[in-house]
Amino acid sequence: MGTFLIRRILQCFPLLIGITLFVFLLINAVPGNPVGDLALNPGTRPEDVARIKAQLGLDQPLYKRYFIWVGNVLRGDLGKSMVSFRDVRTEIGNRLPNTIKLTVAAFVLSLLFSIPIGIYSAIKRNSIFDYVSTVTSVAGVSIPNFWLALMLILFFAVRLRWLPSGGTQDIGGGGLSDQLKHVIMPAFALAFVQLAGWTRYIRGQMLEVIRQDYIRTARAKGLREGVVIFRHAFRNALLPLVTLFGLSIPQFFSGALIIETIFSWPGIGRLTFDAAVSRDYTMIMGTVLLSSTMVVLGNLLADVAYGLLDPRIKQG
Amino acid sequence: MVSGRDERAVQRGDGAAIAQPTLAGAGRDKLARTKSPSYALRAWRRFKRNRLSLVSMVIFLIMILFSYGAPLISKYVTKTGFGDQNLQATFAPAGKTISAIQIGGPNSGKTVTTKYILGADELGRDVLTRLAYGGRISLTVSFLTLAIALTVGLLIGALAGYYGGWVDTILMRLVDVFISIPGLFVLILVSTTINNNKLITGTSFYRTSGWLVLPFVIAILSWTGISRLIRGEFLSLKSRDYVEAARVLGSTDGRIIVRHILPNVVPIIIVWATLAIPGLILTEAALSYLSFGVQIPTPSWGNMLTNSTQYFSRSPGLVVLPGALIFITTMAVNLMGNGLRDALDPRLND
Repeated sequence: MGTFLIRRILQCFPLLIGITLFVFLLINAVPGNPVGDLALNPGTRPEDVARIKAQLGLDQPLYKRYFIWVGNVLRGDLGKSMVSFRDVRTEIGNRLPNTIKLTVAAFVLSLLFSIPIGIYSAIKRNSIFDYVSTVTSVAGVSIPNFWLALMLILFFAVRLRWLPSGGTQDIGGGGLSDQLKHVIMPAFALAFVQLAGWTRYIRGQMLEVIRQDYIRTARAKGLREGVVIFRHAFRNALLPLVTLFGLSIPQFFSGALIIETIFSWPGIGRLTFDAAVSRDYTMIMGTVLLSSTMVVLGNLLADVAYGLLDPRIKQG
Repeated sequence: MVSGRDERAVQRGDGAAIAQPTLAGAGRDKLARTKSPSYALRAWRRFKRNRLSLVSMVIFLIMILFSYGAPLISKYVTKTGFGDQNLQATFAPAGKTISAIQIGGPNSGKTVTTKYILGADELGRDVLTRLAYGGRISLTVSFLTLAIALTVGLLIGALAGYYGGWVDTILMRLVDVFISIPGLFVLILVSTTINNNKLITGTSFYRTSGWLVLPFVIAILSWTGISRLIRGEFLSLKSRDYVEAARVLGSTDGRIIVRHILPNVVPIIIVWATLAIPGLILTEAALSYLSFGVQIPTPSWGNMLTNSTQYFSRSPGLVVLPGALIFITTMAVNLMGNGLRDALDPRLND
């Protein structure tokens, strides 16, 4: 386990370096720069252009700029917003808890639905329930999540007036029920795609496991069906799920971007959208870097959890 | 032991799976003379058996006809263009006929009567016409993205799988990097850098067909899946006997890759390509909805939703329709892809 852990952690570094390179090159290697627009103005003197370039550090060669930037990032300095001139790190820090709240809610919802539905479809294979859940799963991965979100708003907020159409809490509100009321729609819209995918996956895993010899043995021993399914089958089907959860993190983030924008949810997705609209490059670089790092860490966590849960890896 | 796939074939009454053993004994020379049905034909027979997939394929074809028939629909059915505004028809309900005196254009001063089959939007533009043109853009963007992603993914996957070693390591780490960045974040970032770069936006090409940039943007993140798949296949196929034989005969690497290995991964590519289309349509729609994709006034299913959300209570149809078309199309392609996967799976023994 020790060597596995160390090797797995070491694997993250080239990945993180690759991500910083990618983000940096995307912004900096494209021809044209912020000062270029300025130079087009006939009133700008060449020495002014040179001065501003030097101020922004753009007179340095590309590789030097990369190392300066990475050095700053490592020290926790993500730069200042090009629009509001606020510290990117504080801005992200303010928004991150909201995104985490939304994502965790969506994660819990996905688990709550996908596990029972997946298991039941596998047990009752080719039943009407299985058929309906399969078609719903395909629908789930096919539906545009932003459209689903809009339909939910149309139905529950505009027509029925049951739920608020956006925000994290009412003005002056903030109690638990108020917060729950605000989170339920965005969380469901965010969860639906994952939920559908996971349900199909769990069903497939369960079908695979149920066919194994040790399940037949467990049944032959006369164990109750519930024990066979949950103690013997599901435990083994659960293992690959951990990896799947890890792999779903980028999708959660991508989904959060669009769902937060629709529900005016003040998280980093909404922050990124607003930054992109106002061309706030330092802010986008910050959020892309943060979300990618969280994806890398999430995958690391999933792999470590897999190692802990599966004794075969622990020994090897 | 009967494997899962054979079992499924038997359950579905797959004639070939049952008939095979009897052929082994009787009339072997006869079998040699009768031409067995081609791989494609057998796959098509298997595909046909899945009713849901067949219906989905028909729906997808209808969607393609509807979208690419947009100019015909505009000319003969709705008789308006996708950009024709009529401020007397704003938010016209579905099926309403409105006569208005045209100002400007070839019919200036004349009264033109238009039937708004699916209603009109906030500027009085015919929704049905816009849906058709929007579909054309959305589908074209998706198909182009697919072509680019396939080319890049195939190339990288083939190189990594065939040569292995450090080539493989570097390319696959590259794939890892691309997979670790949440898609929409990067797409928005790339789209912002491109759409604000004077060197690109200043060209006349960008001004006339700027949406053609979009497939390249989306493709940046879409090639990773197929490259991994292809790499795996190449890895296992390159050590097969027939590849070794070709090498002994003096074939070059390029010839082995293209003539000997590639044909064997075609079914996988077809299945992957089909199942990738829904994701690409959804990505285009999401980007356009967020106004980082196809720019107005060019209609796409995604950006038709952007403005409509402001008129939610007044005209919900404007929000429901484009999304419903996206949903129907992606669902149809997904179901069709599932059927194709079952039909084309080369490991399905028949």
